[in-house]
Amino acid sequence: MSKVIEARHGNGGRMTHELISNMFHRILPMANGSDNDSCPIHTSTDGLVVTTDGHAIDPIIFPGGNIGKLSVTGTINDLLALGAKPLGISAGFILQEGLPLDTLETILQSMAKELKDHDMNFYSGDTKVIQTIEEPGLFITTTGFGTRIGSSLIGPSYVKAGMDIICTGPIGSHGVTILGHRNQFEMTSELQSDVQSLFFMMADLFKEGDLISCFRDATRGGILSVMYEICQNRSLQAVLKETRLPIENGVKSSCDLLGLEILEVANEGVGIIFCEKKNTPYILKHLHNFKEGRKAECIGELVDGSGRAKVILETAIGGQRAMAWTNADNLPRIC
Amino acid sequence: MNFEVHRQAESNPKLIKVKIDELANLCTNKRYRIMEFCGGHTHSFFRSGLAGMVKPFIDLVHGPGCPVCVLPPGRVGMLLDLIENRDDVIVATYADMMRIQTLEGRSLLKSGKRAIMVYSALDVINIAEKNPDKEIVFAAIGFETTTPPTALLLDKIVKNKIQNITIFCNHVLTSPAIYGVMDLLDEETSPDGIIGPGHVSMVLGSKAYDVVSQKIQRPIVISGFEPLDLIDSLIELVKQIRKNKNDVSNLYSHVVKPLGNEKAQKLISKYFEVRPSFEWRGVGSLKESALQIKGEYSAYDCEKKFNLKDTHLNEHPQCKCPMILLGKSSPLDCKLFDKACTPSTPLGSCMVSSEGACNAYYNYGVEK
Repeated sequence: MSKVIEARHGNGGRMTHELISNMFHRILPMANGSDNDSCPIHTSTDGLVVTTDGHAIDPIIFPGGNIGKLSVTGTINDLLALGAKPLGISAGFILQEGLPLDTLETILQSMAKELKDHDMNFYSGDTKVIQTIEEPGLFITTTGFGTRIGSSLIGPSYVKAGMDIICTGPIGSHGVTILGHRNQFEMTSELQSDVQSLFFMMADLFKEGDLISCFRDATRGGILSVMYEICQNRSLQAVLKETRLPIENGVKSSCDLLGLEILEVANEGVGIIFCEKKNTPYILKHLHNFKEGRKAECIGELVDGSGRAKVILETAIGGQRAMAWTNADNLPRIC
Repeated sequence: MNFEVHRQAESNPKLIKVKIDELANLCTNKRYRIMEFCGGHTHSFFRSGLAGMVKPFIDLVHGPGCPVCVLPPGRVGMLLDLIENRDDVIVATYADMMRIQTLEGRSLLKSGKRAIMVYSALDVINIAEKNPDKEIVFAAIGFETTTPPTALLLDKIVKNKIQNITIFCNHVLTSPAIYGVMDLLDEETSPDGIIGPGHVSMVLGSKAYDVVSQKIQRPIVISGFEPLDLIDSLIELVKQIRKNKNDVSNLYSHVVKPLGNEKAQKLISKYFEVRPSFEWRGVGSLKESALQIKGEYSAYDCEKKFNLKDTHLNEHPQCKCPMILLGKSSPLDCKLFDKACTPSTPLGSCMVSSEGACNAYYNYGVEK
């Protein structure tokens, strides 16, 4: 590992994963053996679940949402990784000198709306103000509390070879929207971030026994990071089918144009479900009833495999390519 | 044809299978060595999975047509020294250029606000307007594909008398690169045929290759970037090789015209002239292989305005990029590959850009 923190430690790829495993988990291991986005407070299956999520995004207001909405929906989606219903959040706000109060109000109103829609409480908050030499913004750190919906345990340790991989919606729109907006690539496309809660779509699936073995929201680092986090250190390989990946045309064209790898692009409202093959048709049928899940697809399966490459993509023309877990940032190509 | 419909046809697996079988039949007695000159083609071969599908009968040699890969680190060193010495300079450039790292680990990407990524050369004008007290240096890079946008930028700078933009020109030329590489290869390593670049040819025109194919005595097929384009180009090349022909075929004719984009060519020749020689990473110094800004516009030439001196920076002694760029070695032969040298810690230039052979081998998990 390099000696200082680099921007790439935050991109959700391999370096982020290594920083967390080698530094944070070594010194601050999670309670009750959790290796998930959230952690149970008690070891019993019906106990409280807690998660913490930091939000730093530039721009703070973007097509499709803002950092306020993102902070609540991101927390809700992390609680879902343990199959939990959100009860409420506490939040810390680091405000930068110069931030317009109107902007702050807009962001807080978005948080309030999401909390209300999910019947969630706001337990406690804190504010600090710091100076900045850059465009003033804010950072939000949330802690979310929830209770498990069903009685079965889910998580990376419950996945095994032979399981299907389901993607709940079109991928890449958040990352492409933010990248375009941040770098002012004037693409005449009506791209919007997919920032959304997956709770209403997912809740019933957790009620029903052992339908789902593991659930992740594919945020920073995209689908590829989810696959590597699940398959890393296990003799598993994810085989994905390119033709089954749900992608909106505008996102696909933007990725082609900018030379981005769609599977590494961030999402804020896309879940990945690992499940027994027999459950796939039922789960897909359920997901298709919801707006956020109408494009849900079974995108591949887990197989036994001990090679270096943990993700194999079966390409549209019938070829294959392995996909390495890189640290490269999503920077466009020259030509 | 509608773009989406066209794309679907391009990735029809049944059609591809038929074509692969056709190619295999042409190669029953001999393996052929084909060089794809352009890094964009290298990328497409691996990304689509086509590289693996043709591997049983075709040896793909990855050519030097990745502008970042052939840029000597000294050129980036010149820019890094400039922003270190002058507080008022901001470098604007394309993303791949930002990633190039010197041996001691310096790069534009690590220069914070002193280096700005642009997607279009003309964005540089906005940056200059927003920073009237700064000197904006546009680090221009690329083959003939990206030269017209730089010429257009220069045209706007000159016409609008913009005083705070200069251009650091690293534009290189395709034909001298092909000659340079072919000169360095022996019978064993030399390709039997060449897949000619697509976007470059859109500017140059297909006729520009007639003299090239005659000079190097190899067939050249200008190709598009979809898998079907590439496999068609391989079939056409193998057919020509079997008949001992050295023709130029244009299979990308919906984009590449015989005379190319004459408007762009005019704009280029208005502002640029050929450099006497230019250093190519891995290939060495090649005569008349790059462009520089014409003397009468030297006020906009970064090298002249800031009196930059050519800088030479050493390469990692174990880096095999020079041999890889010549198609003499595979990335898998390099001791640094996937160990010290990865896309996040690129020691050699072929790992920097997604068009570089090492980067493609790493990302697409090519194994022995």
